[in-house]
Amino acid sequence: MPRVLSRETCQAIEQLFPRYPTRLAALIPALHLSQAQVGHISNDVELDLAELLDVPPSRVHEVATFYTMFHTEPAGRHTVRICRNLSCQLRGAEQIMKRAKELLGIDFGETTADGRITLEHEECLAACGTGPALWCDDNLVENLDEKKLETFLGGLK
Amino acid sequence: MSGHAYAPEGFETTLSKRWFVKDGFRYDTYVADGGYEGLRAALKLEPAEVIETVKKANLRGRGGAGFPAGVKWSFVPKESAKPKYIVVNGDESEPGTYKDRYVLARDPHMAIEGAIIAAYAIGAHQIYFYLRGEFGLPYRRLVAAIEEAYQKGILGQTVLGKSYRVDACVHRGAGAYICGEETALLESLEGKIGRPRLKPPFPAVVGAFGGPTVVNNVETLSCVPLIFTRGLDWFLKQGSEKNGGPKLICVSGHVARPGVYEVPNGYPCNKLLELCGGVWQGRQLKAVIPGGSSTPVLVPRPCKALAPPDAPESAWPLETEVPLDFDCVGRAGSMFGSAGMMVLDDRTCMVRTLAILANFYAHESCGQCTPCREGTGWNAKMLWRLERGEATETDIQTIDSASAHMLGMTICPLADAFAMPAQSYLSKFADEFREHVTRKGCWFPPFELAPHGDPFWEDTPR
Ligand SMILES: Cc1cc2nc3c(=O)[nH]c(=O)nc-3n(C[C@H](O)[C@H](O)[C@H](O)COP(=O)(O)O)c2cc1C
Ligand code: SF4
Ligand code: FES
Repeated sequence: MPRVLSRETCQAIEQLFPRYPTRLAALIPALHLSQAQVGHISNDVELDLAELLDVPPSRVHEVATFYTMFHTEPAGRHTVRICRNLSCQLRGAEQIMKRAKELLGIDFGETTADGRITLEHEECLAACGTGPALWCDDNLVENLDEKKLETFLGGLK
Repeated sequence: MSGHAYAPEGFETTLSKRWFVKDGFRYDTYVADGGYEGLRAALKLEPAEVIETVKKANLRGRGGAGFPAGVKWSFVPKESAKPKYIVVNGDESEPGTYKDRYVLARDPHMAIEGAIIAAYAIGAHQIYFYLRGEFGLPYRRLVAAIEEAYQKGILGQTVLGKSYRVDACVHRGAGAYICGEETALLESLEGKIGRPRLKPPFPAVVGAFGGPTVVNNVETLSCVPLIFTRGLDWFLKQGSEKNGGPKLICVSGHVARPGVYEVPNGYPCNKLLELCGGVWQGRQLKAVIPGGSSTPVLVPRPCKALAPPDAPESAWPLETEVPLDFDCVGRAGSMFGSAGMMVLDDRTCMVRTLAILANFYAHESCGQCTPCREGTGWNAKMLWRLERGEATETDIQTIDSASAHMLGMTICPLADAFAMPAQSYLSKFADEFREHVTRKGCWFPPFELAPHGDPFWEDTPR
């Protein structure tokens, strides 16, 4: 019996298996599905995935910690990732990052006390022509100015 | 409509054409515009003839290295005990690069068509699209397009009625620049951490799951159908010597009109800057990073290598007038890379610019080679010290030799991708670096918040 993963999540993961010649190849998509359900990749998630994919738990852990999109600690309901790379910086990303910290009252790498938002730096998001840019809930928010940032953050529930 | 506002006047756009058309991403739009006819034509040829045609088209890889696609395909062994694969590189993480995002979100069928032609050519039956994890809209549009292609009999047991099975699916990454490097990408596809493999063996022989694999960039494959619909002559004429076809160039930074421009290969850099409305706010051009953050910087100074052999110095073109193709940009001392062009105005601090990039490479090093792991981190620390005015003249020499010692010492080119540009900044802006010591820190203003870009380039609808 899985510890935390729901039936739906397990089924969605099993449906991935025929795509690949190995089960291990389904690990990264499986981590995405698990994070969507649980919110972060906890120890129990790792153990569930190890059993489901028939790989050692250490392997799952190694992968979950290597990729920056996976949270290994509990995170906010939304993760706001602001690009700090060159093209965005050339168009004023520093100011956007500073404003985000002020508006949320937290630093990068932190989560608001109400568990609403985790703030992260991001490397280039492939939105260099519409920077400054951020990525949140699988969408880009582009051509940011302070007003647009404030409206966007305010709209996250 | 064949031309548009992000291409030279009178130039017939083909790669970006449907980005400007309503519902350009749908199967019906694509087919009404001649879509999948390239595949139909290619399927009438023998696989070897397809490869030969792509070779003759001088189609150079658009992912970074500019390697001829047809030549790469020809390295795949004909007979193989293990299945062969086409892996489409949609990791698009090189700073400054944002073209594949629009191909996938606004014209995904073109990439699918190219990938199927490639599969047929090398004898593969499975295509994996590897997309960076942060691609939201591009992912959703590509998945929907693949679904359409199955329904229309373009993927599956038969391809356009020919009994040849091709399957395709999308694999999302999870945030790691290094997974754009083809062997790290294959590791990631296999469910492992993205650590580049030692080459040889090359992926064409031992690639995904041990089978022969061609890894090609999204744009590279999107060019392929054009070769078969428009023909070789047309394709060659759309480019320059040894650089066939049209090219997407991503312009960002200090220009009036950033965006992805479609131009013929070999289009002069200065003319492209004019198309972009020039340097913003009427300022002067300081430098151009031509091919993504990993490429050496070009400056508006005369360049002998771009001039005919006997030309007097007064007739040398400027580095920033270079014709934009892999060979010419190479001659000018840089690389065309992924065509992620970053434009810097005269208020840009080059120490800060390099320090920002050093942070990035330090963050993204996979850590398996000491010169890369230690070198990027150490350089980042030193460059920020210099920017704050806490470094000495000797420190600059150490930065110089430390980056020089990273060159050619590592498993993958990520270390070089920092060290080569670093060397170019240090040599072309030596005075500015030194002055950060004598003036005890940076005197340039902070980067200012830009006026809004064209909303056309934003992801819509959400
Ligand atoms: C550090 C690093 C990052 C790379 N990132 C990408 C990328 O995001 N997208 C891409 O297509 N190629 C990238 N490449 C180049 C690939 O390794 C490979 O050359 C390319 O996908 C081959 O396709 P092409 O021949 O069609 O260009 C990267 C290379 C390196 C060394
Ligand atoms: S050069 Fe850097 S990124 Fe490439 S394999 Fe070595 S440590 Fe990893
Ligand atoms: S530098 Fe910010 S999206 Fe590319």
